[in-house]
Amino acid sequence: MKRWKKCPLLALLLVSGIVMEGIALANYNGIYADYHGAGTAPAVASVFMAAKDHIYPWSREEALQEPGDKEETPVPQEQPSESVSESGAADSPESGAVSGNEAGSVSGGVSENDMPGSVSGNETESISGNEAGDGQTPGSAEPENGEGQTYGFTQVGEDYFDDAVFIGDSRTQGLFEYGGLENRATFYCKTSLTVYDLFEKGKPFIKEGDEKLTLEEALTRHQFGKVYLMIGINEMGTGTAESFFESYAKAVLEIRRLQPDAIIFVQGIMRVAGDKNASDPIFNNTNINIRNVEIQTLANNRDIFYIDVNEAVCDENGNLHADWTFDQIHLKAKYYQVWKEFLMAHGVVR
Amino acid sequence: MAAIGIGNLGTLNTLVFSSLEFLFRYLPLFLLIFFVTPVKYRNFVLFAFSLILYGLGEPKYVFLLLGMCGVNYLFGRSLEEGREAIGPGAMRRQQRRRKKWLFLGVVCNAALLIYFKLSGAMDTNMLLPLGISFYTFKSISYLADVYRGETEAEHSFVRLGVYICCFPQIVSGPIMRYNDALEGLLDGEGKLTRVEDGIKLLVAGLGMKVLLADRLGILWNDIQTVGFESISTPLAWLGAFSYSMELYFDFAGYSLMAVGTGVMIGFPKIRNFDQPYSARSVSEFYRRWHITLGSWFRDYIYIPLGGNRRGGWRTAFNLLAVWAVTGFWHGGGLHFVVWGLVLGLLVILEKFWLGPHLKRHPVLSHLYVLFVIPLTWVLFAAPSLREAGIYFARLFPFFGVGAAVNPGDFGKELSVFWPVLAASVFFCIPQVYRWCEKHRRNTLVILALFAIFWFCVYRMANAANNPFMYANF
Repeated sequence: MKRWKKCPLLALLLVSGIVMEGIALANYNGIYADYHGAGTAPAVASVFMAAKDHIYPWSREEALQEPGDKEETPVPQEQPSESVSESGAADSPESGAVSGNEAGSVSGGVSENDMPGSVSGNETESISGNEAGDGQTPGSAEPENGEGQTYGFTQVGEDYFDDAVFIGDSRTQGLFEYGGLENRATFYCKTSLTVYDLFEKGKPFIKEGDEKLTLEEALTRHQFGKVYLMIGINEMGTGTAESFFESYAKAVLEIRRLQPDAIIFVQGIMRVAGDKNASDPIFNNTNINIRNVEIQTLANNRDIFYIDVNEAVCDENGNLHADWTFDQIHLKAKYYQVWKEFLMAHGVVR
Repeated sequence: MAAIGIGNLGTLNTLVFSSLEFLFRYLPLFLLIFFVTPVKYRNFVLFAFSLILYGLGEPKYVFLLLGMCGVNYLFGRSLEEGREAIGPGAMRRQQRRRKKWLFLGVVCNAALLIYFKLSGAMDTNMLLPLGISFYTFKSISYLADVYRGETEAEHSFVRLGVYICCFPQIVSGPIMRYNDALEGLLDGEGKLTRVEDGIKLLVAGLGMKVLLADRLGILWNDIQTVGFESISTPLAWLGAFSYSMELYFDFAGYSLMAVGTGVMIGFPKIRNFDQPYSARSVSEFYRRWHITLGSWFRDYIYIPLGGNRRGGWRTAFNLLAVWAVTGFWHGGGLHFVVWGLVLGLLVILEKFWLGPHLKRHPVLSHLYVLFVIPLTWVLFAAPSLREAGIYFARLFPFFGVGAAVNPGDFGKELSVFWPVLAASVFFCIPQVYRWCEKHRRNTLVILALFAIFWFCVYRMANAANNPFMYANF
């Protein structure tokens, strides 16, 4: 005992280490069941990973089962693309808000896309399938503009963005900081933003003066002529392509409801560069492409348009240009110009 | 820092001290085995454990390491023979023979190092054998010390093996001398108070690495993400200062963890960093930065070349040679060599002209170091000479280089990073570290270290789980 008194830090660390390890093991299949993901990490890691999500040793398991918290926990992902169409077995043409996707009438812009395995016959099914179970947004219905007329893309000037809003994650943040549109357009973006933050969780990520607004509040307060959305890479590690798209489609519906007169541009998720694509089991272009194919199905070319900046920023293998990025994910500042020019070449004038 | 020796570590974090695997598995397991083992077998346990850890992280090169232990053991033994030869003729003959063996031994180690460094420079995908820069240097110092009679040749293969491979030092030093190692090798008696002292150093180092360096690393990562050509001039300066502190806390922190681990098992407390940013000249800076490397270059290259005893020109040449090798040692890229040469030139400048002026102006000399050293780190940090040039053009924007610069970037980064920047500056103040060292038995300091440890664990747990340690998108 006397010897231990001379080693207070050692004793403290030893005791606390054993306690922590004990907590981790005691709740191994309980509150920490979802936190063993890191492979070789010692059990104690789960205590701290959970703490980050505000799950503490004294948290009760039942309290965590609320549906709202479900997204927080990492779920094993990886979803083959087929499962999307399989899931939505029920055909429900009435639910049509987003499903009006006449494959036959797709005009110019969308067919340009060189997506591998691009939109095939199953998209109507998959969308309506996702809608079927929810039966929500009763008031949103089909926007009554242009009597079903479709539009192609035209070249526009920078003033086109004067009444535009860009919604997205750090890539959109980069466009804001380096694209040279900061004085024209409005940007509702935040690093690590996910599609779930937009409406489901209602994260107040928009600063307006001293206020922090949710997207719903901001879009209720202001009306825009164009809404640009690029989101979806941060959530690739959680949920499935299917659950992602379900939320994505709902978010677009919600934007449609809040901004009835705006042209909505759903943008394909920007791909990553070759090294990351080859080495990352989650954040690779195969998974991005799966999601983009689904996002594309939301376009009706009347009021919702799909544009894919990958056409402008990727090399011949479909990877983000290696020289254009340092971290394999974000464009270097000077290449945001390319994105802006791409947007200007893909304006829609009704 | 990839540039400083942590060449290749697979997915197993067996030898990364700042990993949960090491802190919660390998280290406690080792300490337990080590301290229940009878004293006379402890060196064997340490040797075996080191090889196993190395082998788990780097299975390909563990036999190379073991082979080099054998080779150096034999060289050491043959250098010892005939040191007490009798008669002038026999002595001269033995002297020549020993010189030949030393030459062969040094060439053997150096050739291995140069071979891997060069292949690494040619093929950036090739990974150097883990710790090779350090264990070859240790081996050379051992052979030279035996040759000079400063130490006895080691007769126990296990003890020499421990010296060359011991896991606290294999990855990134410090480059302990054989005479210092003997203290631990011969006196294997473990004392709990030593473990306590060691663990304090370990936790302090962990905090420097995880809480300061890794956070500052995010700022540097941001700058690279934006691209050097697009950062504003204030941000370029902030980046140079922040990178300077990052490198210090990363390397000094890691080194302190290594020293702490060594202290736990009986090795002496080696001082590898001694408040470098308090230096008043570049020469002094490098007497305080990575001290074991600097003294290695002094003792085994600079002095054998003649040091400063052969006139001004020869001294200048020797200094330049040492610094060119220092640059090459840090990495194969041309920018490392240029970095080394620039430092060499600064040291020569100080030796022959600037030194006395610096001595007379205490304030100016501090400012000089704090201005010049970050600029040299830019050369070190840039991925290539061309990129370094772009960075300098942003630091000194007289030539109008710059694309898509956002003047608001400085304010944005500062608003995020000011707490860690302020803390880093605070812990660069020499008095702060000295105070903590002096009061290391104070209850408050112990509680602070305890809190630091668990806060680091929190950060590590969540960084390990996050595939992008540096940022979300």
